Amino acid sequence: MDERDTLARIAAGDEAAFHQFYNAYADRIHRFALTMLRSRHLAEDVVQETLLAVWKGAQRFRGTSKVSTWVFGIARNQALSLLRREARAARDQLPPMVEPDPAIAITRQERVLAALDRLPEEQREVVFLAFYEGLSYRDIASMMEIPEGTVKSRMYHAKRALLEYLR
Amino acid sequence: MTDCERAEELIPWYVAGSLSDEESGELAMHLATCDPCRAELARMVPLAMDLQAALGTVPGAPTELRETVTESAKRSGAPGIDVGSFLLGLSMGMSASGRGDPLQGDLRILGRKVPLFRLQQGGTERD
Ligand SMILES: [Zn+2]
Repeated sequence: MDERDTLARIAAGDEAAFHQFYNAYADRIHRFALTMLRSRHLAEDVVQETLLAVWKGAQRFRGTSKVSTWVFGIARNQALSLLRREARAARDQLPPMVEPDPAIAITRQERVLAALDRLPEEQREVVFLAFYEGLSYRDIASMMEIPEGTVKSRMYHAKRALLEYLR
Repeated sequence: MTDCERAEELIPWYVAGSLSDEESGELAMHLATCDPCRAELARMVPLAMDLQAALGTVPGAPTELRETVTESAKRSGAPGIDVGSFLLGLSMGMSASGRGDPLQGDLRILGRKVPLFRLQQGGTERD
């Protein structure tokens, strides 16, 4: 079933279509939110709020972008507003996603996540969307409403830093 | 911006498989004649694969969340209720991104096909 058709069915109040959409996106949104926010509790909120927004607003999808670009744009806005709220409360208390313990030989994947975690949030989200979700710099620029050059520049700096950290 | 600087900027997107055919072609032409940029490509491919593998290990949504979300959706009533500026701003801001046709080639990175140039002595050849 095409995702656009699924959205159209959701817009018509089809709960089965919503379940299908949930299954396709919940894990991906959770990974994205966790990568951005580093908090499972907040990541769950992002999944919930994003999918509720899809349920209530499916008819607003204009069909001019990929469905995934639209969904991750909503998720990102939810994540950023949670981030701002939490930042006011206790920014420094957000733990890193991976606690590096030099005594333990960590796996390659943990090393990569730890390296990713050292990047500024604005670079981390670009890396996630580009390499995990396969979005183009155009998709990401329109989602974030920033110039394409800014997206490419964030990727450029992220890539340089990651190659350096993982050397 | 020199050709090499532009190439370095595009290589991550090339490896991710999300460049337009035109940009891929343009980059490929440059890679065919530039050793340092081919070396950059060779560094980027394993990094991209590492990133995708690592991000796949980030936990997905907990199973019990499905019921919570479904229940909230039901309680919130039928779709069509205004959800404010989130969606409005987004749908207005979107530009067309759809390049439907998949890129051709025989390298599969991150589950997507990327046009591949064989790195071999005597030049670079496109399949
Ligand atoms: Zn070059």
